[in-house]
Amino acid sequence: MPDLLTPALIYIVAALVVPLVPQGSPRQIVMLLVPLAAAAVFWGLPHGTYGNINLMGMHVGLMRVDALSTIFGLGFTLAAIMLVVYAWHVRDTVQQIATLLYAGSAIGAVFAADLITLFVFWEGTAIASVFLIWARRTEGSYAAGMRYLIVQIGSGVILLAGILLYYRETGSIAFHAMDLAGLSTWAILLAFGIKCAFPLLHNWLHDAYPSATVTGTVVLSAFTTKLAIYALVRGFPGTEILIYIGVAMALFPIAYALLENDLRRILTYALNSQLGFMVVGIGIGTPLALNGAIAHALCSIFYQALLFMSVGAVLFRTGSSRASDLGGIARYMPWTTFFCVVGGLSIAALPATTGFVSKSLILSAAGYGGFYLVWLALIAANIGAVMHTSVRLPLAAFFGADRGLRPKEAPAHMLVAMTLAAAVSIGIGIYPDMLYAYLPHDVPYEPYTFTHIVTQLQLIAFAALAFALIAGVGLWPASRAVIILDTDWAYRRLAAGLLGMLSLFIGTAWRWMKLVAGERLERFLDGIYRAHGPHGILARTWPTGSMVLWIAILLGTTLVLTYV
Amino acid sequence: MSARNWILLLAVLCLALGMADFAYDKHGYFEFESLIGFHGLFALLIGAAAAFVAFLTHKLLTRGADYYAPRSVDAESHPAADLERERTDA
Repeated sequence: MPDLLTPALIYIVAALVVPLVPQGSPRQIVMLLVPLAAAAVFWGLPHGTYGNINLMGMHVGLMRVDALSTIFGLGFTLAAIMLVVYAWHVRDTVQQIATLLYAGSAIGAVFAADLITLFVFWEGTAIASVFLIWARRTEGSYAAGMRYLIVQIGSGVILLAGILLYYRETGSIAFHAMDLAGLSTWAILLAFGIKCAFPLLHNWLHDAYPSATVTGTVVLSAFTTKLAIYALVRGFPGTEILIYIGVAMALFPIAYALLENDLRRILTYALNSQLGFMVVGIGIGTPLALNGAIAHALCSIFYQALLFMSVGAVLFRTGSSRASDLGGIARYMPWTTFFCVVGGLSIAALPATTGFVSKSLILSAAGYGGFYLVWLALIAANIGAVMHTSVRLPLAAFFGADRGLRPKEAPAHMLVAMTLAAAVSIGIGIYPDMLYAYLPHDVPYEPYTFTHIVTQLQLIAFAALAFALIAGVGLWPASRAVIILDTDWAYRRLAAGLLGMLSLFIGTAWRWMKLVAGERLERFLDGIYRAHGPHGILARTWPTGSMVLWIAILLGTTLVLTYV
Repeated sequence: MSARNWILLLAVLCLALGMADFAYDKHGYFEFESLIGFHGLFALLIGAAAAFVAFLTHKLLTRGADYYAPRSVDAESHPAADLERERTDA
């Protein structure tokens, strides 16, 4: 019997069993036990590759246990526990199965020792997660889910093409550090880049995540992009182009996040910007920078989830996550407000939060490497994060003008989940060694220097002041029920319009061709009819004598011509 | 507390943090970091620049929420089955 040891198997089996368990607390308890059981598969195992299979001469390793896979596996496990608690009220079997398969696929992918196993779980995350969008069961979410699925499956197809080329070039499917020497690795990088929401490949993130259910958006925020970060850390550490891609990623979403009306979309832009920090760290590629990218990926799982959970709780209670509909609810949802502020301070990298201890690693790596423009760009991105997520988002949702909403505080299970996320966000912020001890590279680092604390406080306070002054003098646009066009306009409107015009042209040409061809055919058939029809010349009845006479004339003429 | 007072409080905090630069020996990664008030001024500058870019983006790229409807959730109400809209007893 083949060795199938992988934590993903626990999630897959659980996804088959869960529908048989009665809805309500029994099912939720089973779902809560799944991440723990899956963690027991890899936790404490000596480093090495397990679940080894020979597949048509290729070595497939289902579970590679090393420092990198273990820390991501641990982060995903904690996230899965937190998400099950947050979604305790959900009685939708589709969402429950999708959550298990999605989390399982993500964990399976981070433990994959080879590219084929990675591909299988890569596609698994795409297929499972789309049901969290479709579970909203509206026309808009169906269309958003289809767009998401096309992009995600496209990423998988490009990954598979890259793997096949890579196998042909190297004779190996082992998943380890690669360089951009040929088409194969470029294809693999592109596939990773789509899932990581690189600039111009990012639209699926802002389109799909706000289109999911209340809990679906939170679940989605935890895994897909972090899996892509893991894949980049494993596959392309120190690839210089990633520095510049990361800088662009960190900066371009700022304006969108400052303007968006949908709070969940503000958070997707904020998430996109934070991914930029991680990609820069991977591009720099020093042990300190890689530790930073990994630490920031793990920390952002929790503070981003905290932000998505708090906005989700507002949506759950008020029916809207739009800034134009919200405001003045802090006194009715004080705990949710508190957790949103904690998440906002963490993304701002306030000392004593996770953001501070994880971003610092990347910024220090950029500083030590002499990348002063990159360092300035990342500082600028952090200032942007303060403005759009730490200040604007809580102001819009909780402290703005009273719009008459009187929502009840979030349910207890949501508050418990937010407490867990906040505890991780603050706990690691205060005791960063809890995180640093698990990072793969042994690099001593002290984030809490006096200079670092003071300068970071200056950045945050002055950024908040900049926002307050601009808003205070009335220069900030009021929240209205609008959207801000992103580059997805190119395929949702421009390409659709061009295809519509092309379709109209082809349709018109086809109708004209049909008309002309029809007329020609009719004329041709008329001609045949005239010749062969009942009154046609060739259909006439000729007397035999007449025929013999004509033949005699023809033969006579031929004879005369022969001898003349 | 009014918005004006919040801004004043924030300004005082910024002033105090800015003055802190005189009180210690700054150890940055680059020489320009050691300029007094560099981080604060940079934050104000970037904040203003971000607001300007956002203003331009707002002018150029803002559309109604139903722009992509019905193939988008932007103009949809969130389905009630996914919500628990309870009002506070207060």
